[in-house]
Amino acid sequence: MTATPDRAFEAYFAERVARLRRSAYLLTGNWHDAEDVVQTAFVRLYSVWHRVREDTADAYVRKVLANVYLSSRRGQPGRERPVPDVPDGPAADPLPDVRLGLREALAALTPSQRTVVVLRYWEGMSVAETATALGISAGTVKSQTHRAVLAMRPYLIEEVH
Amino acid sequence: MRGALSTCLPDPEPPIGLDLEHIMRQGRRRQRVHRAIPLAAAAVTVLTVAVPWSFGSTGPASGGTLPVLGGSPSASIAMTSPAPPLAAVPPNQQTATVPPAQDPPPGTPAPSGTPSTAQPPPAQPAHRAPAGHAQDKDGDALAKTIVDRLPAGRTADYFGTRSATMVGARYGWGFHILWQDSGRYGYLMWLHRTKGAFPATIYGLPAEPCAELADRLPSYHCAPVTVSNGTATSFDVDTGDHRMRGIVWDQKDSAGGADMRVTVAFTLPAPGAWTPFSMLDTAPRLDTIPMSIQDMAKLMGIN
Repeated sequence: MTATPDRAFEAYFAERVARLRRSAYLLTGNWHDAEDVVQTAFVRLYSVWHRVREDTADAYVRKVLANVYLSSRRGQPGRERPVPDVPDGPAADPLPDVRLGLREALAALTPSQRTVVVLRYWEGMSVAETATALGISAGTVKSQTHRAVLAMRPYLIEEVH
Repeated sequence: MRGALSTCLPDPEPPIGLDLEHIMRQGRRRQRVHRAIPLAAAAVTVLTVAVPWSFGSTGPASGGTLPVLGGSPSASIAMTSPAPPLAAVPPNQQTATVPPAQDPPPGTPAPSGTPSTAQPPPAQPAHRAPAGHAQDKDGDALAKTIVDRLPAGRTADYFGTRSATMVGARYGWGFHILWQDSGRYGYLMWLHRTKGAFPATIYGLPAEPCAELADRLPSYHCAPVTVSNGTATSFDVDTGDHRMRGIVWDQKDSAGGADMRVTVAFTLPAPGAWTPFSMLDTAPRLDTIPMSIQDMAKLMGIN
């Protein structure tokens, strides 16, 4: 980090917060929890900012984000999911069934499967990088991915074709 | 797949509600908390070394073995890092633990000169909570239970603390004991209920070391520990500022509700000074519960 640490952190935050928040949304399913997770990840990142190298900051914060999410989900299998608005009519969506189905399929995944999907396919991390970030084996990443894709496959037809 | 996932994102997105200043404040607080242990321990040391201690053991250093809890040989508190004999400690470091005369803390016995086996052992020191820690009767009671079972003079200081957070009808709390044994200081932190709203960070520990799969960082040197009830993992963390070895022990809360987590952390400063261990220390990792799990359970009202 070449600038003063706080300036560098501010710049990093400004550049990455939106993307990380989207990743967190895919993990948590709502913006409220997503911002909680992102905030915790940035707090942890800031606390070690002086030790983080520029080329490893992304990997570090993604790892923290995933782990914060997984920790927050443990012991809360039946937790209610807050929604910002109560739908009062059909949404005008060109692919309502597919889109809604994909959201539900994503939400129905286990937290670890969902984390693997988001890290691999949204963040573009490799199997090895995902395994390292989550502290699990590459084989576990592959099996989690396989199960997740199986569950989501009915809603991925548009993508495949 | 990425395109499909992008359809799961609402459009338009709501404005970002994160406060960078708040994040940086929390980050600084987290940094301070991580540095709190050596500072608190050093402060306690300064306050307590003026009190003359009559050590029960006058022989060579015992390798960090603490007095037995409950009198059972299986209940000994064994540290895997052997303490060097006193002769190995440079004279200037030996004397460095004895500061110039100063007023003893309130409630502690008055200084009475050079420690002597002919004198009765001093009473255990009075309870004292450091700044930033809320004194708590439950923490006090638990700390006192432990302290009363240690030979007088071994324990330099102790205090029970409680987090400021209350969830339902429960407080998170813990206690701290600073002891001195054969010229070697140790620091025990015993935290009760370190999950959820009571993260170990509020006591100065790294965030849940080894407690969850995601927190089993290589640098924590997590190692499974065999226990009869629940799961336990030892950790060995060197933050650069200090080194801690401890146990995280999860089991069902007998009072109902979520799982309960007990975190016991030892800091093992070098003899004669509160300096961090070297990362090159090749002492074996803590791989056994450092005290009887049964005693821990009894003391905490867990069966």
